[in-house]
Parts: sequence; structure tokens; C-alpha cells
Amino acid sequence: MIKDSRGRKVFLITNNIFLIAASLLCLLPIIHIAAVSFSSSSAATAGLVRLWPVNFTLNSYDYVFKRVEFWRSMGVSLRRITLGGSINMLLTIIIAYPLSKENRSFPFRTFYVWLFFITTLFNGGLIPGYMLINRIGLIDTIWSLILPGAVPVFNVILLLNFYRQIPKELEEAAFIDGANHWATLWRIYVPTSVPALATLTLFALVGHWNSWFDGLIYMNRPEHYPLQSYLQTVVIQRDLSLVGDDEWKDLMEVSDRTVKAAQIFLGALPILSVYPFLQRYFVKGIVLGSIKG
Amino acid sequence: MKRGKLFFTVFIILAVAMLFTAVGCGDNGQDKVVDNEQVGKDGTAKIESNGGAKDEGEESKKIDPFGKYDPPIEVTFVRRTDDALESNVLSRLEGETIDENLYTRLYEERLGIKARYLWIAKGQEQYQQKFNVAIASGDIPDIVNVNLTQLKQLAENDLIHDVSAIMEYTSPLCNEIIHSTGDEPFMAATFNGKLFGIPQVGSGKGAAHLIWLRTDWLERYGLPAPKTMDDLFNIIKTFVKSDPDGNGEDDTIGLAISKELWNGYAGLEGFFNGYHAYPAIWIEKEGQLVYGSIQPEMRQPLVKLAEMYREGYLDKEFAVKDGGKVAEAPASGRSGVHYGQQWNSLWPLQANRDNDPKADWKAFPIVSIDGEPAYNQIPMGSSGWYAISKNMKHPEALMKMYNLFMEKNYDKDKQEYSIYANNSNAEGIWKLSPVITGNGEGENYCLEIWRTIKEPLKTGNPEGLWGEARANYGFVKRYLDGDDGYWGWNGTKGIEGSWSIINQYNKNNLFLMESFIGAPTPTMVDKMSTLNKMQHEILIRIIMGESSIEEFDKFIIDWNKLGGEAITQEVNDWYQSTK
Repeated sequence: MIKDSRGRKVFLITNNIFLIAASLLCLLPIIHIAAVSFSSSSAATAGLVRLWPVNFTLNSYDYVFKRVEFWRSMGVSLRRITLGGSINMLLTIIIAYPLSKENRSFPFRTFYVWLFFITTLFNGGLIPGYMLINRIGLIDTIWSLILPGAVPVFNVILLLNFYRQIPKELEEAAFIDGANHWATLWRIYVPTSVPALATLTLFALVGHWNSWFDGLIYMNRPEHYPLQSYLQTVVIQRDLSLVGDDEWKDLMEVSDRTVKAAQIFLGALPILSVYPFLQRYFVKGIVLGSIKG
Repeated sequence: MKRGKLFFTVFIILAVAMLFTAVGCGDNGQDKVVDNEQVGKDGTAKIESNGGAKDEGEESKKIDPFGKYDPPIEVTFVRRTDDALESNVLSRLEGETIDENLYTRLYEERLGIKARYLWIAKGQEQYQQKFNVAIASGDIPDIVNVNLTQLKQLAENDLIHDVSAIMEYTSPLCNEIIHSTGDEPFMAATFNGKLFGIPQVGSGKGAAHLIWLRTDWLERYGLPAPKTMDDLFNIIKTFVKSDPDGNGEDDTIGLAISKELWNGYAGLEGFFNGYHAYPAIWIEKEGQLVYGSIQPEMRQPLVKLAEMYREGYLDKEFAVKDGGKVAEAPASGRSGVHYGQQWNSLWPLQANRDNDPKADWKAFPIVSIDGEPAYNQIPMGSSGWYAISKNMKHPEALMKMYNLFMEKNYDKDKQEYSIYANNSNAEGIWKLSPVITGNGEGENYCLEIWRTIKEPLKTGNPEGLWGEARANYGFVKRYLDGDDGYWGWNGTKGIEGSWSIINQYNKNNLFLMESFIGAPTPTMVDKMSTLNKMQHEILIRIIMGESSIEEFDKFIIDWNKLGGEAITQEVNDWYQSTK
């Protein structure tokens, strides 16, 4: 074992301090939100809560657990990530496979890659997008949240590069044994790219879980909002200069910070609990793609 | 090679097909709008609205404010909902939904109008977002609630009816209420001599600013109610210097203000009004309309605020705190003075009371820097109008719904208020109506309630009270009977509540209503947000001492140069046209 030089020690210490500080920056807001959600409402309004609950109470959770709207939206979100996530992954896998081939075996491959790539640079815009979704009858259905982003091009490109690193000999051996493209994809490529697939699944799930704007625009009833769209309606700060004649009576009701915090915290939980299971693939999946390129 | 050719052919076919689809879309886009409107999602609407069209001839001959459509017609709406509606109304009524409730049944039974929502969005901002996208893509409901900017856009694009004709359908009660706030709401919705929107009745008087003071602190330090600006500065000084919350820290904020500057809570309008300056509104000066923010009267209060900031009587960090953040200070007993509207006792001051039962607040009239009385700037009462889509075959249906809503909510003889307005187990049930006409009795509605419940509160006898007055009486009474959770209600509708001050303003005629009430002018649409940003920036800089007051003169020049002059011209052209 080589003894660390002085310079290295200094580096390690500064590096650790820096990393700890950076991770605290990420962690503290979550802890703060959790603390607020367990505090009494008046303490939260007064801004007394830092990182530990003040006047510990479960009132806000009690309230949230009884809120039909919250659970209904949670249901929509769960449906969205299961449906959306699987469609994303299926399409990513079967699109990346042909595109990873050489021009020789797949004519106009470059053209198709560009076709996909262009969609990441340009899109139709908000209003044409809305009109399209409306006219083809997807509006107010779960499909309006899934189909427009069904092909995550960025993920396709990542996976495409990953496929390319898989030794050609594997594929050739499979062909010699009589496998066709379909079998090669599912029996050779997919099993050998589990780290990449796990990472991409995580991307797809988090992407679906976190998006709120499409839910707001494409859904015609608040009951159909996915969780993040619902949360957006809860957490947004009222414009106090525009409080109307009757609205001021509601101000008390909707400005309860502890309830907001509880819903944010609960809203983050499901996706947080997926992380640990997929995380072990995380570094391997993405880095492998880049260094051998 | 053969395979290559095949791919090439497929590619060409695909490309050509895409091209055609694109062209096709552009082609019939316009007709599709209409189509979609009528067919709707389930395809039933078309048949019904066609059926209605046949009867149009007979219907329009006799004018009946409550005439029933037979066969029933379907009218489409969009609307927004909010947490309060969901938790206070819907969750307490078994089986009622926004789509299907006592109001939709009422309109269908009495008027033969079936209300159908194209979409419902939750929250004000979310509603506007969805609204803009939907309208831009041509999805306009039959009857739609809009603000002035939207109304003008719809009118200019010839998408809505001239509604002058349907005014004939107003019932006497509706006619009385709808005109009780004066002509302004109608003037505002008139473009080129045609009326395009029916206003929601509202009062701007509730938006007047008051000085809110921690009265338990005033008593402790033997300070009288402020009569002049100097009294107020003295109060601020005493609060800041004497650590009223007794935590041994120098953490009391003098005058609580928020980064928005103009705000219903912790705003500065009342402060400037005390100096006879009227920021961010158009006022009349020598027969011309001028913009309040660039008048010389602005200088003195700005200098004073800068001085207060320097001496520590304003929060050093106010420039980054919005109203919600500022509200932490009073709630935690770190602030005892701010300017705000009449509802401030309900929020955020109620939180202060919850945290500290000894805390007490009261509203006081704004004070003037000199002997002249201070006038309170207020907006026009109406902020929403109902417009009717050109595709709608029965524009008068809107007026009939207005009539019926008013009858159920404001007709004293019918006494149906407790069913249709504030049901005892579902407060605010009126919000379920697809058409909401706004306040009853116009200009002084809330004020009238305060006046009505004043005597009963003294005697403790609510007999003869009805409607919202009865409900409000109940809230204040609960506080008087010892329930501190209703302390905020006493602060606003109580005998000495904030409405008593508005009543004083009203009696002494101390309101100054914004003089420009037309729809935003073209240059305003283009430039006003930039100008407002510039104004906001310079005011904050001056208050924080980063710019001297001399910069204000430069700001006026810039303001005029960057579009202000053109806007002033347009505003005055409008003003002349209304005379």
C-alpha cells in the first residue's frame, strides 16, 4: 500500500469537506420540509421551524391522509409512472437496437438518428402541442401524459452508445447459432446492458414523476391531475395584491404551511424509495457508456 | 442493393406523407375549431345546440328574464376551483360535484339550461395558464369569464358577441344590483361603442389601505392612536427600540413591507397616499390623466423610506421577502406596524394571536403628512366580465342565469340565502354556480354587512339578520363568546373592526378611484411590464440607499422615453372618448 503524500491528504480533506457541504445543501431543504410538516401550524407561519419540529404534531399528516384529492392524484401518478415508464423503456430498447448498427447493415441509419435527434432540438411549441393533443382526442386522458414523451431520445442515445460497446462477437455468435435480430436483442443485448437499463429506468420514472406542466395543461379536471400538478396548486404562493372580494376569507385556509410541507414530503417519498434499489447500477450504467466510447 | 432501394422509397413516401399532413393541418384548422366546439368530447352537444337553434326565432320575440328553454339547451363553460371549494363545500355535500350540483339542477329545471364544463382547472394561476392555451388554440366555451385584457383580445378577434341586446333580459333586482357600482364596469367593457362583457359586481373600497397596529404594545408604551405621520413614526421608533417581545434581541421590524411594494398585506400604497402620492394608478390632474408613479409627490415618501431604511426602521432584507415571508414577522411577534387591507386580521395576524393570546391588533385610518386629508387609492370594483362566444346561439341565457343567481342569493323576500349562498354546513356553496355575478347591492356590500351586524353585536340579538350578514355575525359572536380562533373576524367585521375604518373613509369620501378603467392600450400591452419592472427596481434601489433620490428624475425621463409618453397619450385619448 502506498502511503498518502501530504498533498494528497490535503486534497482528501478539502475534498471531503466540500462534498459534505454540497450534500448538506441537498439534504437540508428536505429535512427542513420534514420538520415543518411535523410542526404546529402557528409555529410554521411564524417561521420558527428550522431543522427540528417545533411543537411536534401529526395534525398535518392527519389532514393529508384524509384528503381524497391527494390520494387520487397519487394514484394518477403511480399509473403514469408504471405505464409511462414501461412504454419509455420498451421504445428505448427497440429503437436503440437498430440505431446502434453500422450503416452497412442498416442503410440510412444516420438519417434516422438525426430524425430522432432533431426532436430534442425543436418542438412544435405549447399551443400547437395542445391543439394536436386535443384534436386527436387524447386530451384529459392519461395518454396525453405518456404518448407525447413516449420516446425519450436522450435515453435512446445513451443506450445506443452502450449497445455499441458490447463486443460484436457476441452478436455474431448468436447469429451463427440461428438467432434473428429479435432474439439477439432480447437474449443478448438486454441481459448484458442491465446497468444501463436500470439507470435509464430511473431517469424515465423520475422524469414522469416530476413533470407537472403537461398535467396542468392537458387535464380537464383537477381529479385527473398527477401528483406534481396537484402539489403545484397547493404550494404556489398567492398573489396578495390580487386577493378578490371573497377570496380573502380563504386565505387562512390555503396558507397553512405545515400541510403543504406534509404533502411535498409524502409526494417525494415513493420516488425516494425507488432510488436505493436502482442506485447500485447508476454509476456503472452511465460511466461505462462514456469511457469506452 | 435492392434492400437499399426499398428503404429509400419508404423514406421518400414517408417524407411526402409528412409534408401533406402538415399542409392539411393548416388548411382546415379554422373549420375544425367550430367543429370541435359543437361536437365536444362526447359528441352529444352538437345535436342539442342545433335543436335549440330552431327555436331561436320564437324565443327572441318575447322577452322573459326567466324564460325556460324547451327543449333544454346545453351551454359550455370553463371554470376554476380551489382548496376552499373542495374542502368547505364539496366534501360536505354528499353526492354533489362541480359538474352536477344544486345550481346545475336549478338552472336546468328553471331555465332549461344544461351547464357543461369543457374543463376545470384548480388554482388561479393554473386556470390562467390553461385558459390562455385553450383560447389560443380556438377552444372557446359558450360563456366565459375573462379579465379586461382577455375581453379586448376576444373582441378584437371577433370571437364574442356584442352583448348590448341581452341587457333587455335583466330582471328588476338584477338591474338594480348590476348598476349599483356605477357605469364604469360597463364603460370598461365597451369597445367601439359596443358592449362586449357583463361585469361581475364588486367593490374596490375593500382594497383601501389601513394602518394595522399591535394595540397591546401601544397600550404598554402609552402611545395614542396615530393622528399624523409623525405619530406613526414615533410608534415605529418606540416599537423598534424597546424590544416589545422581550426576547432580549434587537429583532423588531419597524414598518413591515414586502418586496412587491404594492400589496394587500405589508404594501406601501397607504404610506404613499399619506403623502398624496398615488403610485401605480392613473389619476386625473388638471383635466388630464397622469401616471401616479412619476409625479413629484413620490419624492418625499421615497426620501423618508430611504431614511427609515438607513436608520433600521425597515427590514434590511425586505427586497427579497414576498408577502408570505414578511408575514412571519408579525406571526412571531417581531413586527407591530404595517399597511394593508381590511382582511389582514384573518391572515396573517390570526397566526400571531394563535401563538400569543395577549397579542391584539387593530386597524387605523391612514394618516397624512400635512393638514390635508389623505385619500385612499382604490381600483375599479369589477375585475371579471362574462363574454359570450360567437358560436353561442342563445346569448340571452347568460342574463337569465344572472337573474336567477341574484334571485337565489340576494332577494330578501325569498330568503333562500341559506340554501343557495351560505348553506349552514357548506359555507360558500354559491361558488358552485357556473355563473357568479359578484356581490349583491354593489358598492357597499361588505360595508353594508358591517353596518347591519353592528347593532345586533351590541345587543346580542341576531333577529332579522339574514344572508352573509347572519354568517358574519356568527363568526364575530364566537370570538366575543371567547373563541380566540375567530379573533380575526372581530378584527375585520367586529364593531371596531377594519370595516369601521372603511366606513369612516366612505362617510368622509376619502377614496380616490383609479381614473383609467379601460382595457390596456396597445402600447401598454407591449411596454407596461417593462416599465413596471424598471419602476420597481428604481424604487427599491432608492429605498435601500443604493441610488440617490436624484435618480428618480432620470427614471421619469426614461419612463416617458421607453413608452410611457405614448401610453399617456393613449390613456388620454381614451379619457376624452368617454366624456
